[in-house]
Amino acid sequence: MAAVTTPATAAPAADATSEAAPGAPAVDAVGGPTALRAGALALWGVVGTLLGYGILQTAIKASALFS
Amino acid sequence: MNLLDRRRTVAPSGYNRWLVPPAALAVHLSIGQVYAFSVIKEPLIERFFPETGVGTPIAVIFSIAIVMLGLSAAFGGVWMERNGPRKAMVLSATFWVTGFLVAALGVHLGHLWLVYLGYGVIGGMGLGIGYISPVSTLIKWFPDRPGLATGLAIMGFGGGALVAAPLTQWLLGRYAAEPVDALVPTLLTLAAIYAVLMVAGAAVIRLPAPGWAPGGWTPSVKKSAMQTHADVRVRNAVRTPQFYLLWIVLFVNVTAGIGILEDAKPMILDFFPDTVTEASATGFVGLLALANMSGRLGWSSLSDKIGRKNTYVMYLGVGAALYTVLALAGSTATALFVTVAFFIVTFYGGGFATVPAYLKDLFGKLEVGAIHGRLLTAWSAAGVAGPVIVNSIVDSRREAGLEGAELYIPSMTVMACLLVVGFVANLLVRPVSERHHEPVPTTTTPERELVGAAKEA
Repeated sequence: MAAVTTPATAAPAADATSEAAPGAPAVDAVGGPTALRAGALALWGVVGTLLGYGILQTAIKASALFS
Repeated sequence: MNLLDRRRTVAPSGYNRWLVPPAALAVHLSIGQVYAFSVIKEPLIERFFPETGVGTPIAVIFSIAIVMLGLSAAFGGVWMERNGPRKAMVLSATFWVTGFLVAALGVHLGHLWLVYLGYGVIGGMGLGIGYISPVSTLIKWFPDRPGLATGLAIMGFGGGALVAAPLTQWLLGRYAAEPVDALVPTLLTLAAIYAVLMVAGAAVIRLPAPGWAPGGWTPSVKKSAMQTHADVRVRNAVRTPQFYLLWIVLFVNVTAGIGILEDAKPMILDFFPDTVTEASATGFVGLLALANMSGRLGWSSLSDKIGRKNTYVMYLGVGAALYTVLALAGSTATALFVTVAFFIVTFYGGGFATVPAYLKDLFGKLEVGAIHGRLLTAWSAAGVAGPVIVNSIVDSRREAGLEGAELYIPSMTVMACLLVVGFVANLLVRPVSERHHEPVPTTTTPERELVGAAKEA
C-alpha cells in the first residue's frame, strides 16, 4: 500500500475539495491518492455510461408516445 | 486494521468531494434494479404457474423485497452509522447478490419459496442497507447543498430501473429462445454485474474527516428557522412529533406516486382507447421513469434554494391540485394527461430524494442515516397501501360495469385528499425542541468523535 502524504494546501478549488481538518489522515487509507482518484474517476465513467444507456433506451421507448 | 473499518474510509485531506458521488450511484444503480422487477415477472409466472398464469404470488416477491427494504433500513441504520459506509455497502452487496443467487436456484429447482427467500427477504435486506448508506455519506460531504447530495444518490435508485429494464430484456432474449428458459443465466449475470459495481462503489467510498467543511464555506449564523446546528440521536428523533409528521408526509407522497405508477400503462389505455396504442402506452411508462429520476435530482437540488418545507408544500399542494385536474379533466386531451402525470411522478421522485435533507435540517447529520432508515418504514407501508387503494377501487368500479377514465376517477380523488393530509402534516413541522439535542462538547476533536462512535458500537 502506497503511503503518500497529501498536503492540505493542495486543494485546487475551494468548492470541490476538502478543507484540511484536524482529523484528516495524512496517509490514504486504501491505495495511494492517485489510485483512489483514478478509481473514482473510472467509476464516474462507468455509472455515467450506464445512466446514459438507460436514459437513451427509455427515451427511445418514450418517443413512441409522440409518434 | 480491517479494510472495511470506518477509519479506513476517511478521506485524505485535499480529497475532491466530487469523487464520492459515483460510489453512491454505483450502489443505487444496482439496487434500483428492483423497480425493473416487472421485466422478469412474466417469465416467472410462466415458470411457476404455466397452467393458470396467476400473477399475484409472483407480485408477492416484489412486495416482500420492499417491506424488507423498509425494515432493514430501519434496523440497520444505527449499525451503518457506527460501522461506516464501506462495511454497509459490502454487506448490502453480499445480501443483494446472494438474493439473486438464491432466487436463481429457486427458479432452477422450481421452488417459489426460495425465490421469496432470495430476491424478497435476502435481496430486500440488501436494498435497505444499500439505500441509506451512500445517502448519509453524501450529506456529510455536501453540508452546504444537502438537497443536491441526496438527489444525486437517490437519482441512481430511479436510474437503476432505466438500466436494468433494457439490460434484462436483452439478456432474456440472448440466453434462450424463450425468456422463461433464460431466467437462471439472466439472474446469474445480473448478480455478477451488481457484485462488481457495488464492490467498486465500496472501494472508492470515502467519509470526510471529522470536523471537515467545504473550503470557503462556513455554516451561516443566521440559518433558516427549520435548520439546526445541533444533532439529535435516532433514539431521541423517534420521540419527536416531527419524525411522525415526516413519516406521514413520506407515506402520502409515495402512496400518491404509486397511484399513477402502479397502473400507468392500463390507465392511459383506458383514458384514451381510440388514440393511444400499446407501443405508445409503453412509451408513457418510460416517460414516467424519466420523470421519476429527474424529479429526484431536480426538485431535491431546488430544495437547497427554497427550503425543504416549501419544497414539500409544492409536492403535496401542487400534487393535490394536479390530481384534481387529472380527475376532472384528464380525459379531455392526451397531452394534458401526460403532462400532469409527468409532474406528479417528478414530485414522487423528489419526495424520496428531499426527505434525507429535510431530516438533516431537523435532526442534524450525526445519525441522519439511521433516522432516514427508520423513516423508510413509511415506504414499506405505502408500498402495500398504494396498490391496495388503487386496485380495490378500480376492481370495484369494473365490477360495477364502468370503464375508461371512470375506473380511475375515485382513486385519483382519494390521492388528492391524501395529499392534502400530507400538506397539513408538512405545515405542522416545526424545529425540533432543544431538549432532544445532543450536548455540544466544549472542544471537539476528531479522535474524540471517533472514540465516541466506537464506544457506542
